[in-house]
Amino acid sequence: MSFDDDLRLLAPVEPPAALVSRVRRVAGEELAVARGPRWRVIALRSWTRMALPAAIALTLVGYLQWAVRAASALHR
Amino acid sequence: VRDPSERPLVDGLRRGDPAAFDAVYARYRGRVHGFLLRLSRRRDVAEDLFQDTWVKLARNAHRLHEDTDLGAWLFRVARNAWVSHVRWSMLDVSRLVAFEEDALPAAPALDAEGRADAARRVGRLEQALASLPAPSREVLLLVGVEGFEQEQAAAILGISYEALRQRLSRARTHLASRLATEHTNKEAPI
Repeated sequence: MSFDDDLRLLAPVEPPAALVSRVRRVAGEELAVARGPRWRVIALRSWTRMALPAAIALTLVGYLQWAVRAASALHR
Repeated sequence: VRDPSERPLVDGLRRGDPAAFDAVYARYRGRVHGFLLRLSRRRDVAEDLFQDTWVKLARNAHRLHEDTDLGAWLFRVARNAWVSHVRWSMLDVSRLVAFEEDALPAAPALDAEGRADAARRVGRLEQALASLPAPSREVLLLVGVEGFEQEQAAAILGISYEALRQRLSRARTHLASRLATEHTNKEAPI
C-alpha cells in the first residue's frame, strides 16, 4: 500500500460536542440575520463595521486631544 | 456543483434555510475540523478557524452561486482563514508556541492484529505529515486526505494547475523521505 493510499486512511476528526453546538448556535444567529430584511442586515453591518469603530476612534482621538490640552495647561 | 446531491443544499442555503445549513454542517464539519487541525497543528487555533469558517458560510449563504461546489468553497474559506491567522501570528510573538503533539487525532483503536498495523501506520503518517512544511502539508491534505481533484485543489489554494502538480510532487517526495527516515531510525540497532 502506497502512502497515497495511507493518506486516505486519515479520517475526518469530529470536533468536540461543545464546539459543535457553539458553532451551530453562532452560525444560526448569523443565518437568521442574513435571512432578515435587507435594510436590517445593511444597518447591522454598517453599525458593526463602520459606525461603531468610527465612534470608538473619534472618542479616543477626542480623549487624547483633551489629555494633551490638559497636560499643556498644567505645564503652563 | 460537483455532487448533484448538494444542489438542494445549496438552494436551501441561498434561501437561508436552517435545515440546509444543518445538513451541510453534519456532512462537512468532521472533514473541515480535521483539515484545520492537521494544517494548524494546534487545537485552539483549529477550533477558532473552524468557527470562522462556518460563520462565514452562514453570513454568505444567500450569496452562494447556484452551482457552488460546497466542499471546495468550505475548504477554500478554511484555508484562507488559516493563512490570515498565520500572517497575524507573525505579529504576535505569544502565539509562537511549541507544536502540540496532543493536538493530533488519536490513532484508531487497536482491536485486532490487522488493525494494529494500520493504526501504527496511520500514527506514523500523522506525525510525518505534521512535520512537513505548510505548503506541502496543505496540498497533501486536500488531494490525499480529502480526495479533491487536482483542479479543485489548485482553485482552493489559488494557484495554477501546473504549480499544484509541482507542489504535490514535492510534497509526496517530502513525505516519503520523512517516512523512510523514521522507518530507518526505528530499524537502526541500539
